[in-house]
Amino acid sequence: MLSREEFVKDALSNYSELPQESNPLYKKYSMEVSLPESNHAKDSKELERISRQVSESTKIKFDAIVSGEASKSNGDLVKVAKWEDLYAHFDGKKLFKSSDDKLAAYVNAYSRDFLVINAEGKEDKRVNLLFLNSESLAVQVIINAAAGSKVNVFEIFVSESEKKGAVAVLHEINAADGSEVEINALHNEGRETDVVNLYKADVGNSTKLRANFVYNGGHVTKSRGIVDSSGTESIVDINEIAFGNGSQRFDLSNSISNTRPRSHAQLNSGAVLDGNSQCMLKGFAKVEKGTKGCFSRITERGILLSPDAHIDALPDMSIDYSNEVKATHSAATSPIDKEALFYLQSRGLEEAQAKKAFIIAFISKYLSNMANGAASEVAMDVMLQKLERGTFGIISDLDAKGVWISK
Amino acid sequence: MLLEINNLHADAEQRNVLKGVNLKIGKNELHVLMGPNGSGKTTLAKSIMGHPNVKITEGSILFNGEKINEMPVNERARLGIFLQFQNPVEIEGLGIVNFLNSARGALSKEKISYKEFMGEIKKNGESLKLREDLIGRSLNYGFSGGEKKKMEILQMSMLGPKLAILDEPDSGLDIDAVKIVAENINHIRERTGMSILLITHYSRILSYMDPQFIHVMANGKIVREGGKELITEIEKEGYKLDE
Repeated sequence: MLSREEFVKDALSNYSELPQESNPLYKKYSMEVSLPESNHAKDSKELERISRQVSESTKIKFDAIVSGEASKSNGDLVKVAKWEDLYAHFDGKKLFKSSDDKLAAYVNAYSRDFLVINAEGKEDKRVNLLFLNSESLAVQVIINAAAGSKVNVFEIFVSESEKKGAVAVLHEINAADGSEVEINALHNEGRETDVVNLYKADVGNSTKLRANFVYNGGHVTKSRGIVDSSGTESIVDINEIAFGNGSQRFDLSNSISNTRPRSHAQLNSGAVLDGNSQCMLKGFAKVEKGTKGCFSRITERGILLSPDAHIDALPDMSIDYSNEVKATHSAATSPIDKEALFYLQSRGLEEAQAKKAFIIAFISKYLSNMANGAASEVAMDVMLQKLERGTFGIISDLDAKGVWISK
Repeated sequence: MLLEINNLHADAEQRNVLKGVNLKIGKNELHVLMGPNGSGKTTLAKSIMGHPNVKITEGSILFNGEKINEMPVNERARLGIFLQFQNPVEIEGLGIVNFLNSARGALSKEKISYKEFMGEIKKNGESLKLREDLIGRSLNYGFSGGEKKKMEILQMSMLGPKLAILDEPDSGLDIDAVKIVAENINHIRERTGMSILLITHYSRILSYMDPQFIHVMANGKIVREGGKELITEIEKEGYKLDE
């Protein structure tokens, strides 16, 4: 067994790029995050105050609250484990290895806590997690869904600090045959926090995996997701939406692949940007040989609210098997449609109301994919606060009820 | 006079489209505007509603005596002007119920309960023979052409305008749907006393209605006017624009 120090050394010295990053375009379109070499703990009284505030505002009871070394589980749904506890579990089976990716190497090196969610039985399990950071936080979430089990995870990330900081979270999802896993993450970190979101999934036969990521806060956000639809008749559905203002930056990279017959993989990426914010949407889909009857789709959409905002959409596909396969990709970015604005104004809405309705409609396309109604409502409320007041970072005084969300 | 248009000249997409339109519509009157493609009918409709791409260069539009040439679109709607779009936009993610609720809130001070509001939507939907599940969907998203036209009429019924400009409510509809749409327009008119400016190419919809005034537009102007006998004449002999 490697010591902690050896593991950190190994993690930081042994990484490579994601396969698609050898593409020169991906090298060109890439943002750097600033990650401190530490994982700060937070004062526990302050932690309790903020978690109470978020819980009251969102009306959500959290099953675990994470902040540096002060992680706390409330109940049996989530186990907070240390590296030493999980070494045997991970032996040779860790999905996101340090050699996969330098960001994974960083989180592997510095995450003190591992939140382990073991779902068993047919009962639908709902797990709510709160992540707080003051300066830096690296953490891993391990979801093990047993055959036929159902689990729905909602993560909220906030930071009350205006100090420069970083949040790095790594997800590993092991979805056994016939299981259903949904993960919803709302990133609402402060303006000075860099954000890293990583996920990798191993999907069994006839499983359903849906991941919905909302990037509302943060300074520079970098995401990396890798999912293989590696089960026959498995369904993988990834949705992500970035809502930026000021000088926020988002570099969102996802890789989906079909490796088994009749598997279904789709990625929907979207961005709404104001100010001089920027976003890169990099979706990569691979359809491998022997995947008869599979479906693969990448859709990237963006709305620019300001002439200084910028979106680079780079959908990318590699198809090794071309018979009886449905594979499509598309990208479109534009300002708010003038005809749509005229239409809404002709029904009595003021220009500002019409723009807001249009933006909310765009966002709700992504949030409506969440089966967890509380998650979609809280995410919409938090984004509405940002739309109306320009604020993000901490969650308080939510008053909207997500009434615009439409299936 | 509810609507009075005097010598209206307007450009659309850098082209002079309206070249001196004169039109008067009184309260509770049904006017029909016909004319060949490209004659300026839709541009006239858009100019009344205040489309940003239609620039009025001369003339005036008065609504209840108030000049509205420069008035913002939403304020025209608040005065009671409704435009049924020839090609209604699709807005994915904007729920119809919430949209209608916002529109109604913007246009009317009258408060009704959620139950009453939903009941009204349901009643209108049934009257228009709209599939019930459409009401729970995004605005016009994935709707057929006919469903979009019916959704426009449903909105008109819910918003209760003083003047409805109906831009080809019958185009793309099957025979039964034309009758349903016409009957609904008639009922709304009876209930609200609204005036109508109906743009159409076909006489079929008019056979279910009782228009009082027929106007023929050509080359950016109204060139012929008359009563409903003009419809039969146009049907038989065409617009006779060369005479």
